[in-house]
Amino acid sequence: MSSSEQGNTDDRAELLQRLELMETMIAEGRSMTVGNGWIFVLWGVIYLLPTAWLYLLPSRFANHWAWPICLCMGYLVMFIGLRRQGRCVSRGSVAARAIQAVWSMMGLSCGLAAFGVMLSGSFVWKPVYSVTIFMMIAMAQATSAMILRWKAQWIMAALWWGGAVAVLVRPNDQTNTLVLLVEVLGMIVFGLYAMSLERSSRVQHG
Amino acid sequence: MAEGLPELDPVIHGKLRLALLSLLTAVEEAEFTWLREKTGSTDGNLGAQMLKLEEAGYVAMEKRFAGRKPQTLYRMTPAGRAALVKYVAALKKLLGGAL
Repeated sequence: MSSSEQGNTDDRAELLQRLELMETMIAEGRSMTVGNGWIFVLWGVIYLLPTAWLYLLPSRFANHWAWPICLCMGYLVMFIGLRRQGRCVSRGSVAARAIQAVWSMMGLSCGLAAFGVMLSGSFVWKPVYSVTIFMMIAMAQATSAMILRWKAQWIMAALWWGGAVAVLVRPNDQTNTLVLLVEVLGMIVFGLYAMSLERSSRVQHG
Repeated sequence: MAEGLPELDPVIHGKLRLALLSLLTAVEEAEFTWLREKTGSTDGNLGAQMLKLEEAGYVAMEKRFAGRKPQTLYRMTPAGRAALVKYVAALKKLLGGAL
């Protein structure tokens, strides 16, 4: 190969490298790898805390306060985590803002629903509360899945919808197990899966 | 470069500057720290390259406070977007049949 041919090949390789760099960076900018998997894990654990508290240390106090205390703790931890994360996050694309809007409004709706239940004077968990919250989560998952075109999120939406319907149709004595199963799969397992994707994406892009 | 072939904008052609502009095409605005994290560059190098892009009119910088924390935000200007489109067209022409 002559030196001019060698030079042309080098130039070409460098130009292709530039093109590849652009594609990678645009994809990186568009990616939703802001790191939200931990929020699912957090709420999965927050759900387990009052359940465990009521089961292991049942008392009149626990009956009334286990849920409000744990829910408030969840919102506080999430708020602190999001604030810390917000320091190095870009103002994303319209799609990122749409997803953020769906999830934050879903969180607000769940919070208001829990607050309403607290105001009613009795915070004893009823199946209908699970159905309401499951439907709200399913809607947020499905909306996110449509925007991101992410199959895993469609599966999660189906899980939450299925869970909500099952809570209504299954006998009462199976409700707790069913709710627990959906919560663990839909929150903790999905959260850990999202976190593993985020980690591998970070490793891939250095 | 052979005659008749388009020239590549030297401001955009630098690897880090090209990476920065590409990142900025995908977002409305981005913090300095986010750009640093995504490109893996140092504060000094990133600051210098962003200044070059700013001087060329390709990005606009804004300093804000988030609470008590100062934030440096960058966004791509219409001129930057046009220049990048022109750069990509030139790149494709140079690569010819490879694409």
